[in-house]
Amino acid sequence: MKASTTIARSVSLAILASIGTHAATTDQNSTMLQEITVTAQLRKQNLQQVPIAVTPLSGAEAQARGIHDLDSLAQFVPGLTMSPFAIGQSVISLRGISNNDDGPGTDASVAVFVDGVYFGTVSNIEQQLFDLSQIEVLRGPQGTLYGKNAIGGVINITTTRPAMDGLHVHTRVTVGNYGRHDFSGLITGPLGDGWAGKLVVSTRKANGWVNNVVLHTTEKNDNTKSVRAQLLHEGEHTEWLLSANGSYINDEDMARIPLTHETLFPLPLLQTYQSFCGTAPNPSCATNPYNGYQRQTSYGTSAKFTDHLNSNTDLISITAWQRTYNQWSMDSLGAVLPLGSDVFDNDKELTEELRLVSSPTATLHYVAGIWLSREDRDRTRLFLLPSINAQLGITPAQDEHYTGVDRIISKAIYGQLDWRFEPRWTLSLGGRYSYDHKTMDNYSFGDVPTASGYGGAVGLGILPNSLINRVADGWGRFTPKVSLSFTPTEGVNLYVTESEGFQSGGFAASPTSIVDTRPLQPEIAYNTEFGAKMEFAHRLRANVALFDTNYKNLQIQAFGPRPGIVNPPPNYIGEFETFNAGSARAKGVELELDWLATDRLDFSATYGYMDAKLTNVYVPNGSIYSLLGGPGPSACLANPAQTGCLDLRNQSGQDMFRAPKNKGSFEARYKLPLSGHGHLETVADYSYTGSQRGELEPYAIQPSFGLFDARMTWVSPTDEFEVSLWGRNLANKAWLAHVYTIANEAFGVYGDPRMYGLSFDWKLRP
Amino acid sequence: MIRHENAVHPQWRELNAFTFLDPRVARRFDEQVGGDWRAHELPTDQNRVPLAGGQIVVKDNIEVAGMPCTLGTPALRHYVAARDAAAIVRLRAAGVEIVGKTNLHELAYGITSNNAAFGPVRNPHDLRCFAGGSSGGTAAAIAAGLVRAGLGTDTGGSSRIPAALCGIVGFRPTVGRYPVSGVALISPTRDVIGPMGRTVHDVAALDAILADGLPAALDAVDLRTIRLGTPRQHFRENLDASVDRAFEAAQRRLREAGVTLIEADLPNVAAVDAAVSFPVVLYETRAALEAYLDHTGSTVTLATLCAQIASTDVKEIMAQVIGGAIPEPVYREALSVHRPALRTLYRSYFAEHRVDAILFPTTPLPARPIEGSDRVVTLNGVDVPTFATYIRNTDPASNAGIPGISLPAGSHPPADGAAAPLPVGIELDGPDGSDRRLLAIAAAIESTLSP
Repeated sequence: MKASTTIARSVSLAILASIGTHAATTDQNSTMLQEITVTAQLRKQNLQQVPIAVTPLSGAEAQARGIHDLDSLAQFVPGLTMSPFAIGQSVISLRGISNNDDGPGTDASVAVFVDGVYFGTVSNIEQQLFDLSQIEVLRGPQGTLYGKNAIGGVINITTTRPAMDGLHVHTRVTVGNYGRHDFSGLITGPLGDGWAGKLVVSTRKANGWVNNVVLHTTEKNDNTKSVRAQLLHEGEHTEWLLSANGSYINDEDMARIPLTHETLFPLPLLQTYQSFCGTAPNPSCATNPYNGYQRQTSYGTSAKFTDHLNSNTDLISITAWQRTYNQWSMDSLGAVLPLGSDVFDNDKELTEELRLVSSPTATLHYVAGIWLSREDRDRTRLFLLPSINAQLGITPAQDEHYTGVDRIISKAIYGQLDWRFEPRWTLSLGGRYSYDHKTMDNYSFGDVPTASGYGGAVGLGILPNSLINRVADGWGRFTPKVSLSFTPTEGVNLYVTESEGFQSGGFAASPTSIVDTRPLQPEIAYNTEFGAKMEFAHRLRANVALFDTNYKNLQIQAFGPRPGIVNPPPNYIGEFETFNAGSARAKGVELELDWLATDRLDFSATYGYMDAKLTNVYVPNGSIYSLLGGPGPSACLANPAQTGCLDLRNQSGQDMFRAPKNKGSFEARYKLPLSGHGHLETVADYSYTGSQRGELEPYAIQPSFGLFDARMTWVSPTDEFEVSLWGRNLANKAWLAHVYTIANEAFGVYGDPRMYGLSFDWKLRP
Repeated sequence: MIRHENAVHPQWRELNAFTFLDPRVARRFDEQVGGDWRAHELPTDQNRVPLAGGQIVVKDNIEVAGMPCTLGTPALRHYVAARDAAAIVRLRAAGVEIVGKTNLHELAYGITSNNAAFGPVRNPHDLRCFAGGSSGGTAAAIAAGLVRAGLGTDTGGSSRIPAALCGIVGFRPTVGRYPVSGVALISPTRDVIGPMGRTVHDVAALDAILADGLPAALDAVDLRTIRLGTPRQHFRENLDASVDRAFEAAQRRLREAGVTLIEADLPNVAAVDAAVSFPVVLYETRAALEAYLDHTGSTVTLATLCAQIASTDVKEIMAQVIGGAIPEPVYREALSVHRPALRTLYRSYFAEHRVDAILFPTTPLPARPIEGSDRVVTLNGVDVPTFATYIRNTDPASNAGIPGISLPAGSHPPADGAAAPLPVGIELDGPDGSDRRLLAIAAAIESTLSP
């Protein structure tokens, strides 16, 4: 059956998807791979027809793989990694590009959308995924249709529509190890002529799995709640969708642990940790002497209005408002000294998008739109010194803290035209002009340096200077895209794309002098991509993408001691610096396979190979420091080339951060009918992520890891009940989810150990 | 525009006036705003910054213990001075509080303060325009109402030019009047600390302390006894219309007040001045900066410092300094022949015409937009070199070593119809060593010229 892109067909497929149980690649009653509909180009299309590397994940697939938040999504998407800097605050990296500056002046490299609403700095909230219809991960710069700052890619989340056809209820109760008990409930149905509503609620609760043997507490627990309510009105030519969401996280410390002892850092961090927890990886043991926490509340509302101007054309307006309060406090060093670091965030976002989507003829489609947003970010970073100074016997100094208040106005105008000028050829031409303006107020309160030198004897010198200023700047760019698709034969679609991506400029976090408050330049990406989307006999789907992306002016944040310091005190551990690093290049190949081997057995596989290098990068005040056994800090500053010194300034030719060379996953699904007693679905998957560079230091490496998950579900004959036995990380591997450095020593956060449990689902349908 | 005595410019944060602000002051400001440092609504009434009384700002090439001394250049952005400069010791002993370090033209080698590393210092009268330099930060902080007075330095006009462009008072004392240890000099022959302030009395108060213990009050001066020379050649050539208007109006007021104005030129002053000006400073800078870097104890070498210079105009000049553009014989000649000739020129002028001081516009034009002004600015429809044009009138006094003071002449709308009226300054240069008398005359003239 030829894939057609008429709206009616797409709508009917979307309805099927929205009812939500099995919009998966397999259909209970057929031996054909079902068409996957995506909205990657802002209109409904067959995945196989879209000249973009897209990884789709349906609600059912997410459930089968135990994906309840964006972090666990990464295992199944080539080129995507998530590194949790803090609970619910992941650095998202896609095809080698990420942004690790955690201040209010810069943006994430990957844009997250939920039902068309852009989530900027608030993208790290606990997303409600129980009513997930589909997630699409668009890999590579999306500089045309998506605002804003989608230089790495886009994660597009769509939820199910409120049901017009009758009452649907879906509840799930999960119990598991570490005292896990989760509940999710969804209720949706008509509320009158043309009206429907939906309410989804989820809670997740589990005890911590890390024992802090110093504080005698448990850490890394799970305590989240999220809710979404929607109201839908379908008129004759118009449609309203009103949404409201809320989420809440209240978690304990995230258990950071020291990983290395390579430098002359004056405290025996690793030694102390190992004396308590042993030398082998021991994820469930922690020694952080400062008890941290995280609390986050987010809520918002959106309104989507669609006017079907005629049978070919829709006018859509999406207005949204979101507010997030985030407060976390974490132990920084993982052992010995209670050095806490606090962050207080207060962010607001207002977005408006107006979009025209039209298919005036069978061979012509276009999308055009305007995008506006305003974000207000207020973030305070506090380095808690009284505790550290008490330990060192020094009269406590005032805390060092930095507050950045950033007001961001973004505007964009975009359009894309897809023209099937020959039966087998389609040309896409698109472009976007984006303009971002940021006004940054910096308030930095540091130590008063004393005569004993930089930072003084009382402080850490992370913020040696006090400063108050306001800086403002704006950046605009036109990012075009050209794509040519060719269908040589039915089921095969080839494409070549040239496109640009843009990440606006910004301002560095925790500036240590007025010089560091100057604006950062925008990042630009130039992407060339070849793709093949192939389907054979409706049983095998193979999608391949080869990409070569050049990045300019990457914004990189590093932390460490800087040269040029006069008489650094022994407790000087470094300072933050964000800079435009030069250029980088990521090239690779991504493969996604779905194979319906039999009507009961199917396989999926993903594989990504990526060679991502910093090509011309010189860190302006890069760390020069003495390794253990080296000649000492002053000697190394004077002669960085000598043995025992590490000079991190020249990064040319080094790997990009959070860009594993190899990454892949393999999944097998088996469906066993139980003649009259429903059926049994078994899913087993294995995902592998290659080693990744975490920071500038060569030993700050996040090692490779492989995780094995499985799930067995009994589905009742009427589909009303499901009982699942599931396990994640069944081999109980110790794996690091995030690696970072402080004072040139590496610290890490482990990922979840073996988790298993039982889930009960009840579904009511009209 | 400052209307009220204690009003603070609402956009003071955007002026880039500071390289460092004392945290206690920063905290006080923040407490004034909301009480809790976590409450971050931007202040609605931003005029309540409590900076009054004996508080000054200090240009970031004069060392204040415990504060950075960056010279406005990236390589030194983390250098913190261990000891107060000698001048600062005197000020502290007199009870003056130093609130922060002000931004400057990088390495004090320019007259706009368009600092590519710390941000261009914006003119409080028109944020698009520069504040002048090299002591732009001090001028902007005073003109914005944050403090009443502060310290700049002056090599060829660096305290007088920003004072003129920002509508405040800037003073250049006789060379050697104040101690210069702890100041990052670029030319020991020409450099002085230059006090700047809201009024002449603010500047005179600083002068008294810095010159160590002279009585603070200025003598009263009867303007009817005052004779001022008003040279046309060189000092009043090719003036911007607003400067011309302001200067003519000032002369009118002075004549009405009884001042005798004598139009007489300093013969050939431009040529003699040129023979001293760059040869002296370009030659002396290398040794002066090396001595300063040595004093800091920092690992930064002159080569590293130059490599990290952010402002292209300064980078170019420093390349000349490092490259030895001025051979020693030329320098020696400048010092032993041309400088004495210049000093003789001034001495003869004062004696022959029996004038108490020389009067002329501080700069031929008011401030111009920051954008595009690093090399050239427009004057009477023609592009002229920025540095040479602004420094033209202030330069000779600095090479002769005599004192000079710039006063606001009043704001007049610029001829090209730009929106905001920009300040214009008039300068008085006095004989060698006549500092207190010059200040007294300036105070009398100031009260005559005030609206």
